[in-house]
Amino acid sequence: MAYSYKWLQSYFDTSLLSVKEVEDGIIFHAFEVEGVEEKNNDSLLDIKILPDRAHDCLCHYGIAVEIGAIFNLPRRVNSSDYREFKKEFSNNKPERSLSVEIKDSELCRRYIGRMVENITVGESPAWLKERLENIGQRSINNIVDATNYVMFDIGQPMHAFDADKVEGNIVVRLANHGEKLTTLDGKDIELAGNILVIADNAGPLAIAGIKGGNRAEVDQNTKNIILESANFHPTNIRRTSNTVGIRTDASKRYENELSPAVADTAMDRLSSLLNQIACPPNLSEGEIRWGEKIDIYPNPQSKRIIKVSVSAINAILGIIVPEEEIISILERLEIEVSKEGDKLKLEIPFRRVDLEIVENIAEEVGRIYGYDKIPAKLLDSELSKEEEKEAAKRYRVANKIREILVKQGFSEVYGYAFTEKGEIEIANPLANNKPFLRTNLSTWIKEKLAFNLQHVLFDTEPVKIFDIGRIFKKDGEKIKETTSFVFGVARRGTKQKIGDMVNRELMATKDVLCQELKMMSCPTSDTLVQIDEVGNFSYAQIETSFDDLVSITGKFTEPNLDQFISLPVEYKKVSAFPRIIRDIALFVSESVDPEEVSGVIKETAGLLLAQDPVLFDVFIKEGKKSLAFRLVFQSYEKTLLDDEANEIMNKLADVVRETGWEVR
Amino acid sequence: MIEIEKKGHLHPLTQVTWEVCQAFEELDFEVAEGPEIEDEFHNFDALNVPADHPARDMQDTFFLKGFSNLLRTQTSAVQARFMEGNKPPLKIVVPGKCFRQEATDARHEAQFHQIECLLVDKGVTVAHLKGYIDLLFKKLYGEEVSSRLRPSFFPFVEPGFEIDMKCFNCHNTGLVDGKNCSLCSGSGWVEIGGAGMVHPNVLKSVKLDPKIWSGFAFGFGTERLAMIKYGIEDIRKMFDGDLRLINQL
Repeated sequence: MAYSYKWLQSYFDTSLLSVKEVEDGIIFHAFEVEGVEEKNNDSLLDIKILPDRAHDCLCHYGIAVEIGAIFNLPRRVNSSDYREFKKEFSNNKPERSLSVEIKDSELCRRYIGRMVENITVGESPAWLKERLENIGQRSINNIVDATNYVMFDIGQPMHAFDADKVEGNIVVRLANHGEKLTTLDGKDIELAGNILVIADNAGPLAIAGIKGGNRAEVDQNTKNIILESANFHPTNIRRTSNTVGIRTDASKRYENELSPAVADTAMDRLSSLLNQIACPPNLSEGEIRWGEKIDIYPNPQSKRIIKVSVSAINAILGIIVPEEEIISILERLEIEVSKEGDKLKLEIPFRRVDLEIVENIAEEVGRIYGYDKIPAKLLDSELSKEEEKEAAKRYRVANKIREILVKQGFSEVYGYAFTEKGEIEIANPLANNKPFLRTNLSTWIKEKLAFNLQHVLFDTEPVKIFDIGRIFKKDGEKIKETTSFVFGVARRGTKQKIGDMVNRELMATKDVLCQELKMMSCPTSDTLVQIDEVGNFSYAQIETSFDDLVSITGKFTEPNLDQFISLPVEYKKVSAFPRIIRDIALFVSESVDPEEVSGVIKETAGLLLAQDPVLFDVFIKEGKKSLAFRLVFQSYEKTLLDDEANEIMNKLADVVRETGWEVR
Repeated sequence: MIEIEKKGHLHPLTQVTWEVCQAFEELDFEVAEGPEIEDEFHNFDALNVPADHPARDMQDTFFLKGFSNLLRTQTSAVQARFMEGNKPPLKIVVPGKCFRQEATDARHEAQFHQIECLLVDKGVTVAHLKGYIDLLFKKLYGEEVSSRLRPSFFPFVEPGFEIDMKCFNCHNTGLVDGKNCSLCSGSGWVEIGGAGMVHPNVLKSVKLDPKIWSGFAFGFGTERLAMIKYGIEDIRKMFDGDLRLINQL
């Protein structure tokens, strides 16, 4: 949510620290700040509130409390935006009375209604518009803006109905089957029987806690209104919100559970604000007539008491925070602290629904005190080294397979679990035509063999890859999740021509695997191997159960993958444009190191050279050494033209000659 | 004609997993694992995420047709599984694949990996959590690296933290060659994982007495570690099987 720095400042009589300091304070003691934006002479802090604090911090007041606690700053009880409002209601009684009935006190925990007559609907004052617009809310009219303001100020969603469009009294009840409602934004909603509504004698006026209906909408001609400040059961709001497919700022707050105690404060704030901004423009039109608050609150919440010792808090944090400091921190967070024997008795403010156990209190103390003040310590654990467990063994076998295969020239790929066809289907797949879980790895490996074969540099170069991963099948009515292992080799050429060769390579690798894993017997080939040709390439692959493999391995040497760990290098991006391949062959004197030649080529060819030159031929003839390199040219921006490659090759030839070498 | 000897390469995620697990194993943590298809109990309920609670929205979940199971959203699901079958004190490290039902882009994938550790013993405190995080980072990234904790929330821990690591790319200065460091965007710190003290409700769910036992857990996104290490800009490249990337590393 976006928080206005100016709005937060309205909670303090002294000037706040700089925006940057406030931001850092929040980051290190409370919440993540995802960004700060400057707008209309204000700074907007985008603060990420997680579900544990959505009860009390999806509003400026909550953040103001945090800032006060973090910086130990005295804070006003309410924002200076409100003007004090202590009107004697009896002097100006409304003509109409209001009655409220709650049919289900579990789903609606509190409902405060108030009849207000003779208001003036109009534009909001500039300061209010600015407050709302700065945090990304559109100004509608003074009445609606005031309800929104109160929600973003103290977190309580508010609603206003046009009283002249309400027939009879307010009832909070479950919808009757077949009832319908058109929302304020014109959406027709069919109401099911488990949806809680605010209704009058004529039917539903609003979906409770989620969205108002258009029947009693406040408009330019509205004179009399009914204000609502209510509290609804979080789970029911969440379910209804899902059922009707509407999420609003109100529903988001209710589903995170608000304290019903806040509803009353919110009604007072809204009244004070309206009295300030919705009065008739001149005396001849009379004054606003305020009705009493009609407060239906069947089971008033009582304050939560937590008793905790200072040592229990410190035992969680691993540091000694002095008692006075703990008390000060908690009091800054509006927790009332008193001593009871050797314990602290904490009276938790209503709005802090999240504070229930000693661990919660330790977190409050720790974060405000500062996690940076906690020292780093190690623990002397007395672990009895038991026998190796199955999972640890599986991990070791997997790494051994990796070690063996990488030594054999295989590279490891990780595939997707999602496929087009399979046995286990995802109920809510992403829209990518892959709603199933894979039943094997080899289908994908075959594709990747073909894919990577397109990029080899030489026609005779093989592609060798492997993957170890879970596959998912149905076993009767059950799910069968197993780990599979696949490795495959592919080369260009027909099966007739090179099929045997590819097969032999694969079998040789399999034999090395069996040997290195010290298996008693090597599974026979024909049950496992797939060999075929596709287009212009032939491949062979074996997919087998990793789980079975683990059970038949013997005492193999410990895997060590350190030798294959790459340094933290910046990898070179793969270009999406086609490459051009050229060869260069040259004679150099026998003493010249091919590395030196490669270096000269790299330097001359420049940025379009996509990878290091590959030396593919060396021979010595009459005291001269012949070297042949294959070069790959590729651009990140476009398809390279032959001419461009030619130009580089010509330049290269010149440089080679100048160096005293000879182009063959 | 020289027979071009093509070297094989480990996938970058395996490389990172190996390094992290090696470091943990040196600290006496043992590798544990669990299924990728989980039940609601181990993925949510046992981890103090009740049904119909907004905390479930923190992780968009893939459900299965015709089964009550789901694709696990976090390796933390293994915490409860392991504690059900093993008595404390215990120290485990859990590498594994997880899933989230969210739109994919350069930084988000429907499948990804995590590595997390769990330590349960007597008298474990936030100070110990800090000690182990620091030790691990020093093993992985060198002596100069250290970490810091920021408040955060994960339902299965309390208190909960985000872990930042001192940026090794700019040596915590925020600047590389006079420009904002690309790794930490100039802040000098890199967001790297989540952590916390095991929530008493999690211990209770596996019949351990929180008055006796306490513990910590912390974990990282494996892809994030690999992307940081190799400057890979798009997480989707991890799973496209393109050797032009893998064989560079």
